[in-house]
Amino acid sequence: MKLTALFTSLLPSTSKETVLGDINLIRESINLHTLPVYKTAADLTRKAPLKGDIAETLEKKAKRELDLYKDNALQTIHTALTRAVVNLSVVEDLVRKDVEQESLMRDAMTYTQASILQYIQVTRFCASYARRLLLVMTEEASTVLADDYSKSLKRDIEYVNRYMDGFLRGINAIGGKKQETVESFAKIPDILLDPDTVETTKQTVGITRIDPFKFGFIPYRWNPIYHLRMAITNYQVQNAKLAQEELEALELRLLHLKQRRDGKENATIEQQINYTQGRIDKLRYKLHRDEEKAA
Amino acid sequence: MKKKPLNRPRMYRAYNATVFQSGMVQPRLMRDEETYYSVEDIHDVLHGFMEQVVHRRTDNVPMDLVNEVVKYAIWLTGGQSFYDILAMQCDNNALKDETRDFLVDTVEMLSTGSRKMSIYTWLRLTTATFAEYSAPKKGPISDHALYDALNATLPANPIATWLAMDGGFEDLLTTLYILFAQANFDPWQITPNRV
Repeated sequence: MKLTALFTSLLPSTSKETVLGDINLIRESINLHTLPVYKTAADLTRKAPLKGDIAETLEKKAKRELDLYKDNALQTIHTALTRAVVNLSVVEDLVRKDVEQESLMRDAMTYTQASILQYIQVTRFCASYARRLLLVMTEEASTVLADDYSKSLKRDIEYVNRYMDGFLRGINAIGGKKQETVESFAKIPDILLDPDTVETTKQTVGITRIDPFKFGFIPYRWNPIYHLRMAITNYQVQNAKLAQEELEALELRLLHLKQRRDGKENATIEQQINYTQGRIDKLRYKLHRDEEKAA
Repeated sequence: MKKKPLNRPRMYRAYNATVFQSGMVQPRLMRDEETYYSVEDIHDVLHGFMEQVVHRRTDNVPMDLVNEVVKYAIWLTGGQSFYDILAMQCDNNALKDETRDFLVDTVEMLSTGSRKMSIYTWLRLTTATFAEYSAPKKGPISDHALYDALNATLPANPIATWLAMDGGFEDLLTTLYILFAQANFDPWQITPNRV
């Protein structure tokens, strides 16, 4: 998101506690709900990659665009997310040290603080997108969903295609080594962010110093808690539940794929996959409704 | 009157064992003839532990309870004969497919340190009840995954290794809950406790 766009849509103030709590939740969702399935998926696809359009597109684009590409796309995303967890602790320290007041005020925000907010939002987006991406890829490789759920899958495919470029840029931004992240944050000048003079500052200070992570090029879906007045706790709880369900669906699908490759069929697993998909659809609808209500 | 022959050849092995609703066979719980362990009692005990540990509303678990659970786990899994009992399930065709897969994953976890699927997903998968319209499969078992898993290098002291893992205590308890209480559980079914 461009800095000016971030600035204009931000709430007048966001409390420090909210930001720190959000960092914790994101770290948990990566550690518990995203990394384990990516490890299993990377192991499963090391010799025989997943079939399907999206899997192929991802592989092609990842090879071209990811700086830390190694082995295959899933393995690379796993590495990047592992590093992101470490980098989040860097960001957490920055929030504790750099933000002296109890809350982040929109009208007294420095470039560093804006970058911190962007970083958190991008990490969150990458974690949730990664799960959704794998769900779509595994579903393409083995069609198990019943008719009423494949309709919801079409929406997923649309979403995954629309944001894939942004996701890969986000992976580049958050997948840096710890030292690199510390240096990039240190580079950002300690000036107040004024939307009217952003262009001038860019020209005098330089774009690489103002936006070292290249967030300006990522059109991700922002995290509404910094932008809308809403019941934050409720939203976060629903999000955590969704992550849990997505994890379950992914694990079941990977097990199903593995058994299929071994020549076994188990109807119980297929039925269970359909049930989880139903729960995921309901939770996604609830989250969407809450966002609409708050806007 | 014609006399019945005394040693009639049996069609099945006549070990004295406890059979759980999940299909697990545990011969070590039946060593003396006077004590009778009911499957329902074991179910209730494990259910109580789950309420106090996994579904707890406090920050930590009291150490006494941990000791109690670990002692119970050692007793239930046969102590020294932990792997013997697992090996016995290789040709046990009362086990459902997913329960067998779960056993394989558990044994692999003991040797590699991580599960392919998280324990709570297994809990949901193995405890979901579906109407079945076909007779259960009988006959020789073609799936050798459990046998293969048991042939890998395994820790000499499985329970201790388990407890040392990240989140191992809850994992151990939930595994017992699945295998000895909840998988395939039907409160209305009258279990044949002995074979």
